[in-house]
Amino acid sequence: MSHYEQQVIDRDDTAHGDRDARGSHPLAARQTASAPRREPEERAARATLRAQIARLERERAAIVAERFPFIAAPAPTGAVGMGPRLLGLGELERVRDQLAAGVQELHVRVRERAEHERRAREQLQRMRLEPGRYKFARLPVRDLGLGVCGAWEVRPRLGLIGMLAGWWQLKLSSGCPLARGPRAARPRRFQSNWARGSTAAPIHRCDPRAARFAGCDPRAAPIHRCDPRAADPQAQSTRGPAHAGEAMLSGSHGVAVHARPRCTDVSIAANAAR
Amino acid sequence: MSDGGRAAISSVGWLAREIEDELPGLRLLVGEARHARSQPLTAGSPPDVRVRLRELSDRFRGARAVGIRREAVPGAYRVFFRQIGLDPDVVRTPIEAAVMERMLRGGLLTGGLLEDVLLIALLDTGVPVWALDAELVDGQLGIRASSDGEPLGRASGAPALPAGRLVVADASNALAVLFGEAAPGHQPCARTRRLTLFAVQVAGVPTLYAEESLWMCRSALEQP
Repeated sequence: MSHYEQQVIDRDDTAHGDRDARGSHPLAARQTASAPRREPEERAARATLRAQIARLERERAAIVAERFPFIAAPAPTGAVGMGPRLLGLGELERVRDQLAAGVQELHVRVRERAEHERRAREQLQRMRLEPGRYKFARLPVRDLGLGVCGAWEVRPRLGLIGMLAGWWQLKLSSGCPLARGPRAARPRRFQSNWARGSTAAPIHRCDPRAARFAGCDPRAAPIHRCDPRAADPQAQSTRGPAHAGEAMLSGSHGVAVHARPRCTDVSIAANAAR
Repeated sequence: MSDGGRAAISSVGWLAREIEDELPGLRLLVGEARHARSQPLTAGSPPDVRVRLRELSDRFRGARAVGIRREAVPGAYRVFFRQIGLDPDVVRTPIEAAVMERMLRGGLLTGGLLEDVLLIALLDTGVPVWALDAELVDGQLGIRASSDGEPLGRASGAPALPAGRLVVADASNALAVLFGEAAPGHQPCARTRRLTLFAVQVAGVPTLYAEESLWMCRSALEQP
């Protein structure tokens, strides 16, 4: 049915004073009384399907939001590029069935995940009660559903002495590692690039407010390499690499992901400068 | 401003009969705004708008981004997307798209006065608002289905629409696909002084939120 055949109405809303829509546009005059009206039963069926879709979508959203990041949303199943349109009975049924299947899949994954976490909690309890039986056993807190970083581990108290004496304890690690990894495993360039005066900068998220001074475009590539020394020409040439490092850490890149001042980084640069 | 004052700034657009029957709760709220600020609509935002944008940027963090689909108003748009054949995980609802951008960019980037004002209204209320150049709107706005091959907008070389696409239209032309960008040539430009704003309210979204959204845009633009 074309839009010329559609019947156009005003919404009856007394809260709004403007009721000039009726008759103000030619479509209203061109509307035809013979526009085919669908059967009431079919309309009722579509309304029921829409209500089911609404309930399933809310249920799906609730599961995904509550169980994030342990349970991800199922892969999208909707038709791509079709655009907004009025769905017929068959299409509504398809959407409802896909949603129902997705919700069912999510429920299965929730049950599996709950069972996994229950087993992990029992394991943690056993490790706590008898650490000597679980030497060097490691249990990520992710398995317990308590976060994404950190791990419970059975370690010897006082190192080698504890190993020999059988003193074992359950310890929780200190949390998320640094974005650049442990210092020992960190690539050499992260430690000394600025000290050596190299032009290569660590990859970081650029502050859009400072980007225009640094000559980079965060819209084009939010995570990229840019040279923060460009933000302060004085820092790069006259004050030496140590100050250049400080400029990176504190100056124009105030919201850079790694740009929290770290004494060690600055001291590395300062040592190199000497 | 009193509620009565806010109600007067918007009118309810027309709906094609079939859409009215099939999608109860769908409403198009239409308002007009005069651009009274000194800077053009496409120029950088004034400090007050940028400050507001920064405050909102701080309000939307990862936890909120994950949980936003459960909130009443964004959830209502997700449901409505499903009901009109869009998968909200593929074609994101306006509020989810804005929050996702904020997560990816690390902040809400300013994109010009008008864009910022519409974004602020969206993030504050959850109700999306679009703007058209009022000089190019013919009569009252409404929602209907497109006919096959109907052009989107009045510009020469306007893209043709397939049959049955839900569009926001004036008396003579389709001006925007529902929840999509406005037709080329109908978007406000730097010289535009009078704008037609419209918000799409769906079932489950209180009218107050939609009106608030329009009111925020209007008051921000009309502030000298």
